[in-house]
Amino acid sequence: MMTGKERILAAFEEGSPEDIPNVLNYANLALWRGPHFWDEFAESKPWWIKNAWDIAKLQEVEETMQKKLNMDWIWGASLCPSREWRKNHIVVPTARAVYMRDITPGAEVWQYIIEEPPPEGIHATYPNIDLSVVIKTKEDVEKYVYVRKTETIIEEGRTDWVEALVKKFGDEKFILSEIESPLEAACDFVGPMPSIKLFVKNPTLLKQLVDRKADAIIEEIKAHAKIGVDGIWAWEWYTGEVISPAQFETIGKPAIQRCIHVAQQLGLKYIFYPTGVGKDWQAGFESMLDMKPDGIHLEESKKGFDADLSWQADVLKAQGLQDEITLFGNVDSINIVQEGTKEELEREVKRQIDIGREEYDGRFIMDVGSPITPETSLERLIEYMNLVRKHGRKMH
Amino acid sequence: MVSEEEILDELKNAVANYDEESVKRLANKVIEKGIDPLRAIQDGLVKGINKVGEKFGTKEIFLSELMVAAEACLAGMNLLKPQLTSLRRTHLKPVGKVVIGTVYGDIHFIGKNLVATMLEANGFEVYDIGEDQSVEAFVNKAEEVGADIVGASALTTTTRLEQRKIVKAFREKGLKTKIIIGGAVVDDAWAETVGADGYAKNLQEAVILAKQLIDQA
Repeated sequence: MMTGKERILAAFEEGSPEDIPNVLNYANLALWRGPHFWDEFAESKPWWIKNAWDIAKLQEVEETMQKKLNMDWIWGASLCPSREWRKNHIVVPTARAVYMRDITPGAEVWQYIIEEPPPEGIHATYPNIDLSVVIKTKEDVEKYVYVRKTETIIEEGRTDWVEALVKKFGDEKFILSEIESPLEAACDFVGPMPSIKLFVKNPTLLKQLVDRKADAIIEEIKAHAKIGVDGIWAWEWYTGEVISPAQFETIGKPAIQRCIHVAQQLGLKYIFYPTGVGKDWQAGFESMLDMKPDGIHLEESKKGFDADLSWQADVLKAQGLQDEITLFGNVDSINIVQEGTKEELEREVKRQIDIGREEYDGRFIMDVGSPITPETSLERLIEYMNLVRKHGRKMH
Repeated sequence: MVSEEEILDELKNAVANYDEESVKRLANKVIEKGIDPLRAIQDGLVKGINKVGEKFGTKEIFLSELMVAAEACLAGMNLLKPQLTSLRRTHLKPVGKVVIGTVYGDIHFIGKNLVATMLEANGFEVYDIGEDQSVEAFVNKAEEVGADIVGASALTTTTRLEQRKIVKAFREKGLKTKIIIGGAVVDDAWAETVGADGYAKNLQEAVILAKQLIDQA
């Protein structure tokens, strides 16, 4: 009986494992923000242990989630706040509110209220910044985009969460760390709206930013490798209808390819998750495949784009990549997993596994296209996972 | 001697080529030469941005070009609008009033901003209340300005539930405001489920739908 880790490695390295690997992307983000999922997995632990970065308790939540869902990977073994930050920030629950208190020695003690995420999900609060007014030259890029060295990342304890997961689950499960994709990171750094305009107004500066972000991300990849993770997950949003295939090719691809190359040299599998990619952006998709990530994962078809799995398999085969790139399933998390009938769910699971196993010859990992929604019940999710196991088993 | 037609054509092309500096230069030329600013807006800027919108719809160009073109168009609008006489302003009275925003818990804004720009370019008076806005914020602003239409954007599966709350709040208050929903994770079926008046898949559809809803009212 293979472990989850062995199954995933087989899907990357040999193809056709006994059982098709069964995973959920963004598991400890998407599921932990659904209150009913949190109640099931956290077993009475308060919601704010996430804010407090209580690694021991979070590890227990992960363990309970794994017992119920038995995924083949641990998703989200990513960097956490530094050890010093964690030491100097404590969560103080009171009858009135829950406070995050900064107790840095020698500094004035101050605190702010943290709130329980609302039932519909986490309340995103990051500001819409515009750094394009500050960053105008290559010198500005080097001045403002900080590259934290691998050793510093580890010494500061930013890999402690990763290390805890590797120690706890690393023998059995494939440990997957999320990093930023350099194009995404550069654009988010400047601010989404200004950066989208930079593609047209100042592509040279944007490329310098992307390259600098790649330098920083490569240090993080090296840190993850030192701790012993198995793979890297990188989400890229600046694709599809946002930019043209040519813009991706010239501005994003070289830096992303550099990250992929470093990860692969360190023995890590690099899974690329570009959102918004479908048939009408095929040139861009082919450009992404040309970067030779170990795994390619597209969202499900939606919002006017068609990312049917069969089409993906055909494009990969046409490029002669079926022995190099592992394909990921993209079951529709809303229309099928959340809202589909039992028959629709089973039909789609079987269809995708058949494509992965028969059409694509086995280098295939089953997943949903987008994160599981909070409106999905745990029972339904378990039903989905069981169907993947049932149909993913190789018949002899 | 460059004719009026040629200047307006150049203005249209400047928007279509995302060339803000040329748009500003030509808008100033329109003013200098005493060309009807209303005509310059309608036959120059609006035609230009609609051409860009069509190209975006057919994937000839992408969001980055569209946004720069929209910015160029608005730069021209900002120069030409003050030139309209009060009589002309009457002629340019808004097609309708739209309150637009991204729902509570959701900070996505690109699609919402672009829809706002396209509606504005097509003659709507647009009140953009921003991102992460509560149900009450939508209702209050719509009541304050007497909105004909409310546009509620949600890009995530977790936040689209807010669209249902917005529709419910308007209906419970007995407001006649039409409600359009948009965003990556919604569709016609979701619009029907939550009781919205329509769903717009893209920029062009948003403008067409808004005009249809105004005509129906």
